[in-house]
Amino acid sequence: MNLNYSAILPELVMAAGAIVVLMVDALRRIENHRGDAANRGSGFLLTLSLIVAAGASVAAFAVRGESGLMFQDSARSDALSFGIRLIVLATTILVLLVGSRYVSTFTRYPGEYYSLLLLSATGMMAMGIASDLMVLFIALETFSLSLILLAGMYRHNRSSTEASLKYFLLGAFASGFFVYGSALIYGVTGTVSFAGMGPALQVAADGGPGAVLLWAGIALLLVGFGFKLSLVPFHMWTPDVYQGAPTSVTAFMSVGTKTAMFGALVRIFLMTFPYGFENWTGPLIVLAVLTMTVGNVTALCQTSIKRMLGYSGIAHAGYVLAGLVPGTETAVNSALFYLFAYAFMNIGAFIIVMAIEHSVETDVERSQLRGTGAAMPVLAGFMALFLFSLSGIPPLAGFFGKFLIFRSILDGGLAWLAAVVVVNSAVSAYYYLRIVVTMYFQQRPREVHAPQSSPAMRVGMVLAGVMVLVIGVFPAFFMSLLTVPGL
Amino acid sequence: MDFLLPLLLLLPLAGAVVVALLGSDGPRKALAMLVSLATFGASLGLLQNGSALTAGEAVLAFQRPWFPEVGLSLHLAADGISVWLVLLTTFIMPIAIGFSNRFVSDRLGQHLALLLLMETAMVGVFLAQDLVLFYTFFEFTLIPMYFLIGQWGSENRVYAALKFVMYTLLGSALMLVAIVAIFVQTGTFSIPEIAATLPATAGSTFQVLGFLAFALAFAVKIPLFPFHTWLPDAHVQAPTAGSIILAGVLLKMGTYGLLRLAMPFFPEAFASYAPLLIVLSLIGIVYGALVALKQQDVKSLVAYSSVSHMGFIVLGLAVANTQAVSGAVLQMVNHGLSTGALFLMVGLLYERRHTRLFSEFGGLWKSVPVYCGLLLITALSSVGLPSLNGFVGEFTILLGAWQVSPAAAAVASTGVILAAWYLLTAFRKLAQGEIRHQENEVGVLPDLQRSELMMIVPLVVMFFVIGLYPNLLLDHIVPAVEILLP
Repeated sequence: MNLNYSAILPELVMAAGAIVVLMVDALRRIENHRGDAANRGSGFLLTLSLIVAAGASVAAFAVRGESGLMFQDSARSDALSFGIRLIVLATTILVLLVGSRYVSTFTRYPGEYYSLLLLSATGMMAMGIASDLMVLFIALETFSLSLILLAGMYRHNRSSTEASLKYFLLGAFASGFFVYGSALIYGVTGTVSFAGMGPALQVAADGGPGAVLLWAGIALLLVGFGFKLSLVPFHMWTPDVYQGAPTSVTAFMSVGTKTAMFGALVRIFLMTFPYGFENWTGPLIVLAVLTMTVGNVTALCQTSIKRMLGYSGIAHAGYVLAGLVPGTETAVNSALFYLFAYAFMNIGAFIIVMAIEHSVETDVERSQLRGTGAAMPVLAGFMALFLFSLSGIPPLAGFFGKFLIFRSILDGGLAWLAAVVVVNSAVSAYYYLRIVVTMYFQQRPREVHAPQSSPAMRVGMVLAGVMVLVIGVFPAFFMSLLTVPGL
Repeated sequence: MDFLLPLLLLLPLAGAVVVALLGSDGPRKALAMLVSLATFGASLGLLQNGSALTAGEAVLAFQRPWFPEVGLSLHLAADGISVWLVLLTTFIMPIAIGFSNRFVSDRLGQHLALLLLMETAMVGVFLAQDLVLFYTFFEFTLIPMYFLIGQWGSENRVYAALKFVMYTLLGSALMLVAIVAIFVQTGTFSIPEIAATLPATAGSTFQVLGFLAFALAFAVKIPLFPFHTWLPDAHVQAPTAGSIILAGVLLKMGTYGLLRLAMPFFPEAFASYAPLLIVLSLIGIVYGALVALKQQDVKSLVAYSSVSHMGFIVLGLAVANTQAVSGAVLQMVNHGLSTGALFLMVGLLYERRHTRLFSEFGGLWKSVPVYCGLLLITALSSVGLPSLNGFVGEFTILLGAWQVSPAAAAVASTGVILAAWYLLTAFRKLAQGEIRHQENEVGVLPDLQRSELMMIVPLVVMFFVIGLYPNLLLDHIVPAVEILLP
């Protein structure tokens, strides 16, 4: 039996860190019985959480070379899992930084927030290494349950509670599909391990006994993925949850969930069920086209920035899925690169929303950004940068993400799909640029609240902005970091 | 390896960053002007290798890997066509900056930084030898122009800015697909290599679809009838410096792309669509001129005259013989200078009176004779009076077109007549007759000052230089065109 603990060191560090943060928080609360004391210690807890995430990142690089199956074939460490770890950890560090002050506006107990964030990230990273259906399900539930709690963290706010409940109910529904699909697949193959399924899948894919059950199982699994990735038509929960949850949680959820779920999608559909993958390209194309088109068209009509970013997030999931359709090594690399770029530009946009929000209760309407270009040039400048990158204008990070996706699609010979993606992306520019219009070309109303930011938040904003530029100017370096060799 | 070309890109870029960071307007103005003049000075170095240019070779090549996994490289080079378009850009830039220095006070630092960014992007378009690099610069020009129109434009600027960007973005979206499809077909993004290999290997469907994707992007940019509707909005709303750059250089990116990419990459498809291009360009020439005739606003008149004049350039390209194409390239430079100058003159008038309506003027000869003299020369240059620049370009195009289709040449030449009609009518309405408004009285309306003369006189000098000695440009342009044409 291969118990290679060092290969899963990053996940272990994160899980242990989550527990330590929780315990430290609890002990401090016992020490001072006064209610507001918890807030006072939040700087320490933030530092601790950052150290944990940074430690996990160091560990991720340190164990990058360790690849292969372990723990009775239930986990696999390889370039894909490294890519997932990298993106999730970058997301975690950014969100920790920018949420530092924001968190105190919606909860008195930031320790819980930090701890749940780390725990959720652990689950997402575990999605990348999961190599059997059980581990995959546990990882999925770990990050989903943490996210449900995080979404409802602002307890006195109705929309936050609604977001949490909605995410819980639909998440449970999705899990149901997922488990049922897993059960069917287990029934046909007699194993939960991806590595062990090969021969049985081959037999079933060739039309042997159990083919129908197997395809049904995979279809149910795909529905489960559809919910979590908010692919149309399984996307209904997304805008409400994105809008209702505290913004830092939304930022984390929008990038982390996508990364983890796409990682698992690649692991299952491209690495485990490659037999008969061509049977799945049809449904995947339909899902991708629907997802990006509905996401973009609906985003056009939004006035709330968070809701708009929610719908645009749906569209971005559509692009990534379209890029994965060819099922090649290039496709996986492009999708990972896209998600990496997306992490910085999307969280970046949410950072600005957080700074503008003067309290969690009020949603940020587009009109609230009027005249920010003149009044807060730095903030607006960064927002414009993130929005331009999201609309895919060269030479920013988002452009290369899209560029690589086109290449992978055209390599797969689907010129029309590339055309759909590119037209969608041009349409999306309209609603991103409309925010720039509001910020720069419209006068400031008389009553405005100054933006709220902390030093850590500004560090996060600059970090995200610099990354958006650097990824665009030196794409080669990041591509080599995220390359998944040989499927 | 030569570093002049990257220098031409980095100088304005660095200038833009520093100008944006500077604290007060005085140093900003000085630095922006200095940087744009230095860039112009450096760009004169493009002509150092005259014998290679007259041989039609690309000079000063610079190549570095950029994204080798995907086949992208930072590849720049200049041939006889790019050299003169880059010189046009760097020549016009100090003039635009000079105008903004004098008349813009609101958020000047940002304004100047955007102008310099614009310069980097435009020079990059003319020098790029890698398709993705070309696309990057081509698209990036949108951002500074978007802010320039949106922040410093007239009443309807927000609409105009968004329309400009969305039109261009949608137009060029499919070009990106075509670019990547070309890579899948040929395995390279290098423009010269693609031009050498693609025509022989691509199937006819690929040729047609690829050509249409490129042609759409460039037709919107040029703008070719019926894709021209963004132009009057953008021009009328843009601040003067923006208009000068938009008409002077930005539109040329479309015709340049047609010539540099669409024609050599898809020769068969181009040949089969050339009649359509000719027809559209003729419609543009006549339609633009007729609409210009009816304008009440001086700036809209110049904007529609642009639609008409850009039609000549497309006609020259679509005819596709050496003479007509060389004339078209020459006319790109000429139109940049003449229309840039017209927008400058309109801007100078607007800054004095804050109106551009013909009905507000008349009799300006009496009050501002220097202005009117220069305006007349500028208008005549745009009309195509012999011995001025516009004549050589249009005449060469018409001669080339005559060899292919006398009918097309005949229709196009009505555009010359119409141009004389609307421009001279405009001049009459502005300058001749009696002074009808108090604000235009002698002594009330100030004539051009020295700093303003320094903007317009270099342009006027260039009208005569090119008009009297067009071979200065054609010696470089013709050999480059001969190599480019299949």
